[in-house]
Amino acid sequence: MLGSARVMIVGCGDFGSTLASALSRQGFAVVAIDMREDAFDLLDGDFDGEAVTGDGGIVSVLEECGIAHASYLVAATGCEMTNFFIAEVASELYGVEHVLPRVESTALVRLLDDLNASPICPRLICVDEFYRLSGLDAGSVVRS
Amino acid sequence: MRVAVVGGRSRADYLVGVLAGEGHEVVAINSDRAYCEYLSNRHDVRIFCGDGTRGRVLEDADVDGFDVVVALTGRDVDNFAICQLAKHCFDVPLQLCTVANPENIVVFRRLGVSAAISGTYALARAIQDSMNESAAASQPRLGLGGGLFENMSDDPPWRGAVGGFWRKLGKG
Repeated sequence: MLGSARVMIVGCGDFGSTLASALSRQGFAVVAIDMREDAFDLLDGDFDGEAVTGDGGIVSVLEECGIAHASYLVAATGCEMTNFFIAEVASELYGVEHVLPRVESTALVRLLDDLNASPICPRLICVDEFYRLSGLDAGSVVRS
Repeated sequence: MRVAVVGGRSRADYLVGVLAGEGHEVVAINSDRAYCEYLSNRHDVRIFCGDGTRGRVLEDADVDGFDVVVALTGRDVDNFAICQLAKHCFDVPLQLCTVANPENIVVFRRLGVSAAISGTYALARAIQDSMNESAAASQPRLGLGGGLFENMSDDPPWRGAVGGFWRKLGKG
């Protein structure tokens, strides 16, 4: 059942808070972690999960928040190095099934692919969205 | 040996000097341009200005096939990324780094970094050892908590790796 699936979201910025609110509305058990308490102001009023103030880049904090029981781990902090580290911890040390870190660097994306994590790369997503919205064909060459 | 020293300030300065003095091939990578100029004036080694957490910078610095990478930035997660990139993308077999959080000594090791060294942990051990020597009764251990750290042995995991590293450098 959806209610038993635990989602841990580290970093409650624009992306993290929007996702946390949406997943909570769907019935997932959400734990949102952020170093700043005021980050949780971004969550919807009807957010029904846990909001924990702490440094998700520290393994003992992740452990206290129940990473061992998470089905999904989203690393959405503003620092891709931290997200990369959290992803490796979640995947390699805690065996979290679905690990989704936000990472821009191509090299780190490649390393994460090898680990069975599913990196979210905003840079590439935005380029894809540009092509979709503009109607341009990414494969065609324009001659003047 | 070929050693890449990434980040750091006084530690990088010291290490580059020692390694170059022993005759090893050293490249220092540092994102602070002014500090790069300082290192360049102090040491006769290749200095590369750039962010060592980026694969492109490590590639341009030509660290492929180096023997050792040492990551000395002030951020544990940056040092972790440097070590993992060096290991998996550039075939550097020995990765060493400093960590600010002693917890990461075990964590980094379990994630495949050769050794993570914490000055704080070394200090705690030194205090513990000197307390044990002077006290008649047994002292409570300065533990680092349960969970992930339950199986941490008495010897910090980095001791063997760093010992090996220094032996290779001929320091005995």
